[in-house]
Amino acid sequence: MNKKWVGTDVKRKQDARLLTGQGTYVDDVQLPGMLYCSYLRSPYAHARIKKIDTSKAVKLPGVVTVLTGEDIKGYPLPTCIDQPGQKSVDGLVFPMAVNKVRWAGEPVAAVAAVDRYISEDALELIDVEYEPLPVVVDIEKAMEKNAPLLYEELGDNILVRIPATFGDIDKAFNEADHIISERLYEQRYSGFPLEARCTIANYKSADKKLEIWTSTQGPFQARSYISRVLNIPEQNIRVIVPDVGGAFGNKWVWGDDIVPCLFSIMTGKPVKWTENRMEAFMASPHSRDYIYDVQVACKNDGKILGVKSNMIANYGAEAANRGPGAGPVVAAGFSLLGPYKVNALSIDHIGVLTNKSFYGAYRGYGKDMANRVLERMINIMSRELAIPPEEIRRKNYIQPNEYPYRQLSGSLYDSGNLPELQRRTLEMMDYDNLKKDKERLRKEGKYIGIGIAAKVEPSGGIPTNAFYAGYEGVSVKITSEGGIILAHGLVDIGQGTESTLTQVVADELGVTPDDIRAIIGDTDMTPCGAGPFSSRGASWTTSCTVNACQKLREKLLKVGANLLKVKLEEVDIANGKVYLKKTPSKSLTIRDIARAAHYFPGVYAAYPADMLAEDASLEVTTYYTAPQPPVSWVPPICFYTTHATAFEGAIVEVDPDTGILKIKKYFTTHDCGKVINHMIVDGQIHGGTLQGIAGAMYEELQYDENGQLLTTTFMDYLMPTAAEAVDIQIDRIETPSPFTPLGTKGAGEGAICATPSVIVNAVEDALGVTVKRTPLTPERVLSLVKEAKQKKTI
Amino acid sequence: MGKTITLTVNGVTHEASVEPRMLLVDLIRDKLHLTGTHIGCVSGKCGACTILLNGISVKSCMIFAIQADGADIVTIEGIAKGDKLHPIQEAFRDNHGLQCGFCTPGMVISAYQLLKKNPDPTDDEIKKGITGNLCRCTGYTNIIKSVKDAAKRMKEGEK
Amino acid sequence: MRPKGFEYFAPNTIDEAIGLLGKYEEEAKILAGGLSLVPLMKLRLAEPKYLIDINKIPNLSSVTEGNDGVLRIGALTPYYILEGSGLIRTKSPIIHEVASTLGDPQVRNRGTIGGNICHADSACEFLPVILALDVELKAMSSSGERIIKASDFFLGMLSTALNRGELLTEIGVKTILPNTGQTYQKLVVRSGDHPIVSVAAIIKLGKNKICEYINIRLGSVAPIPVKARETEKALLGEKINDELINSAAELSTNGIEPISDTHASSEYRTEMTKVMTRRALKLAFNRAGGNK
Repeated sequence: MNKKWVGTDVKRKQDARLLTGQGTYVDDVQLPGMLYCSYLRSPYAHARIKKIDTSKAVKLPGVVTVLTGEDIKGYPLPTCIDQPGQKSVDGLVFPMAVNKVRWAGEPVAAVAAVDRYISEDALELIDVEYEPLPVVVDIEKAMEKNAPLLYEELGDNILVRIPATFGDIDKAFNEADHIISERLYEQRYSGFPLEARCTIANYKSADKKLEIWTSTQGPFQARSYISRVLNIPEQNIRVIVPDVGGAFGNKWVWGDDIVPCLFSIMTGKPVKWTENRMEAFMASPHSRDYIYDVQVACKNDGKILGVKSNMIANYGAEAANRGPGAGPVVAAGFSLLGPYKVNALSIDHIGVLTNKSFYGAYRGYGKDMANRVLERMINIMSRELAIPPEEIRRKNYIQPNEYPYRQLSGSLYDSGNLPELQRRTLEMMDYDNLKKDKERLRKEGKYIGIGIAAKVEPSGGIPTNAFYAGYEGVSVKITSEGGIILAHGLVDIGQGTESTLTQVVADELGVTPDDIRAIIGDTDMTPCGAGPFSSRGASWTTSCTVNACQKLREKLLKVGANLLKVKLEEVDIANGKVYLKKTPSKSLTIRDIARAAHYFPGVYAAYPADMLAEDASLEVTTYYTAPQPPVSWVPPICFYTTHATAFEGAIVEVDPDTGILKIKKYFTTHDCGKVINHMIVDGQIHGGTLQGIAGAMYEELQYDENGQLLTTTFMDYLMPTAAEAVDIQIDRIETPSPFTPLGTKGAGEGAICATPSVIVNAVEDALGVTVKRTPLTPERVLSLVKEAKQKKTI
Repeated sequence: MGKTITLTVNGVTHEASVEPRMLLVDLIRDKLHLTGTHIGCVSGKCGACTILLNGISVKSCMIFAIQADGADIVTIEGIAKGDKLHPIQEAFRDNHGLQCGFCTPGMVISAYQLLKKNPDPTDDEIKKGITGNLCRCTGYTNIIKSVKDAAKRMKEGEK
Repeated sequence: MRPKGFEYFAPNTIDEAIGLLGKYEEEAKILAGGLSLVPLMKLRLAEPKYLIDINKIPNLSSVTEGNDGVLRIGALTPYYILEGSGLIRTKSPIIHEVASTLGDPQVRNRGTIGGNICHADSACEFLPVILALDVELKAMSSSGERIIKASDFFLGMLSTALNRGELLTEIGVKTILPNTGQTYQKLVVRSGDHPIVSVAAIIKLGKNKICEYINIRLGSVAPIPVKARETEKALLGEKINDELINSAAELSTNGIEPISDTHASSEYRTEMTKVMTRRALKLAFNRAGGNK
């Protein structure tokens, strides 16, 4: 069979409609009689609610009804992820604040009105009396004995604590020649897709059916979540996800969908909530914002013997009830060793609660944090041991012939070749000459820095004890006129799943992607799938699609052979036809087979006896579970199905007068196994890399000590414009995964994970001092320049 | 309360009753049902709402609908000719210049305006021409490539 | 987010506009490009009861040169017109420099020079430029026309010398003189943002590179752009060279009151005032023919 679509840069199906303004994003949808919902949000970061008076708001013409926390306290939000060492705040988190607000921006009341404008007017007429409480926003202050408590019931502010030890950590540290210690810090930032969240709830009371349009990554999670909270039988809920304007993990939350549903149930009308940009900054999932205290034990030659990692992440007001946001500190611990052979690891990772917005998923989900540890510590070790950083890495890599490799902390790495990735990237960079140039330019007062980092991108994760802990369903069907439909739950959030999976089907069935239509984003129309998080598409949905297609192919061959009156071994499928191998002109098109099976001559003539007895259909629905990951928290704990890898580098220039940092060029050699569509993978690399650069240099969710968010618009939160775009050179190798049928590995998150490490390493290389804090604003870089001059490293 | 205004959008004349505070982008999206123009922010920074107003690219969330009385507007829906994509749209499709598509209508309008003023832009000129349009997905790399390719196609189309 | 309701007027003449301004006084706001006002209204930080849209008034957007060598710019002239004007580029390159780098293309298509000046926020980029140019601002009211010098126009943050019932109609700019170098330089973290610090510098060189005229205004470091008097004093009448510029730039921070915000601290702004003054002066010096 001619396999030719996987590996080809097929153009995307959705582009024609998206380019001509014919896409449908949730806010584009208008339903008859639709009302608009607006939230009133707390101006205080921590306060008791004494009184809410909505009487004036209710009277405003055009306002239909108003809800406060008191009204909805019968609808607590469920726990979406439950990990050992995680405390429960079940029964304490609601769609709107009940009795107490825990962050500035938490909703306290909501209005449903006939248009957007009036719904906002009504907010000003709601009077709320607050009793402010002491505020805590700082990680270390939140850990103190007498810190203000977010949930008095918990006794402290620790939501999750994962201590774990692997190997003989004491031996490692005793045998070390050096112990390198450092505190690593990354600021709070998040994804902020250009389309903020939007939900329309439409309850049909006669049928007792709830239909929801929502911009989410997880339609099935949304359905289950809403069913649990509102106690509506799940079969009566339909979640529709049309086009999604980006997500990056930030749309893996459903807590803010409850109030629009309640409004719709109360009013009998469709109700739309469109998140505005200010709300998105103040009250959508936040990420990063952590401190690592790390110690690396190593020998004189750079061999790493052991790592101790104490980490605290700032989980904000909650992290497990609006969505499964509490996982990152865990992922950060178990992914920490990256591509290195290290025999001892001890972690004590904490997610602490503070009066900031709640925590969620943002591209990386802790694997980005994990990358920071060894990639930065190796850089620091390099300066202390006077060994080049690329040498230290080479010395510690897992070698290509050692895969599949069981990492110390439990992950089973499928395949990889870091030495080759490193070699290619350094060659692309002309690394040795670069180092010479750097020295020459330094004498001229120009400060160039070269940063490098390796990366493992664990992908296809299945958190156990979480919403959708590990399966994926796909349907492939041939319709009666030979149409081909692929139905799956992998919502297209920009990464192209509407098209890429049809490439997989095309190869398996011997047709073209144009012959196939993908149905996604509708819980009534597709089998259950967990959706795009943890870069699952290439491992889970792709593998499931391959399995489904192979079964369907079998059916087509069987029915084709039956109709051609030959034996099964005598036929094959290609170019849309089942054909006799020795006489290819004797063939039937898929349409011929479909018609024969459905009507002319019909089921009894078309299907062979065994299929008639079992399953006379040209449809397959199948579910897939990855072969490797665990079912429990008993070691070895491996959350991820596949592991992509990369080696990245950057050349930066520091202006010593202003601290302005210019990234002259970025390089990556990337390996995500078998690539379905290079154009799409490259696009993910471009986007993720710039997001990582933005995290390293520009973006920060700045809070003051009263818990007021200071960066509430795109004027203050510095998302890059085209002027900040960076020249990225990409090379690739493909080491297939032995764990997936096509050898594919997930690649969606990878590009962001190492980038901040690379940029920080580059600045440290330029100046010879350690970066204590990001983002690397010009002001911060200038203070590093001064420190470098004082320490005479430049 | 409302004033009746008349405006031409993509060659079609419309009459609409608007209260003064209605934003032009809301008129276009909610009343005229041309939902290709998007809203991505509150402060006029993101450019997802970019349209052509009397031939000039502007952010329609920064303008009141009532100000567009008598105006000639082009939105993304007016760029293609029926089923035939404009060379800019073809270039974006062929160069993977869009991922989620949310910034894309505004981006195409800005590219359209840029190439009208400057049919042969350098990469730096392209970057400058689209700094008013934020994109979160693509890192701008393929957008710049798409606009460069569009310029080439438009020049060849003129021959 | 959506604004509160208001009553809207679109007068066709200056007299009509002035009449409305006089009638509604502080409850009315002028709507020009809208780029300063509309975001504030959407956030409900500004809630004018009356909006006077002056975009329908003819002859308020223009760039002409008089026989007296004065460039007259209509208050409603958008930045993109200034950016594209050959007259501006040759006769007042500093205005070309600010107009072509402010904001982004859509902002430049809509923002007006008059709107920027009358908003009078410390971040408004035309402010240091028109102060360095010593422009004359023409305002009209029911009592007639009035000329206000730029140096008298700004009273404080968001506050100008325009009376209620007065409309800015024209900006008069002395054109470039021979052996004059002018530049507008700014430090931004991200393209299109408000400057951390900006410098408008105009220098005229006489024989032997003696500085005959110098005017330096620093933007974004105080409610009103600051005249760098100490730096000017150190340069005026002196033979200009790099070392003198370096030492003079060190004096530029006298009189500045920079704030600390999410973008930068006051300390950093103070330090960058010196750096950007130095860079602007070197560039202006070069443009004045100093390096020939």
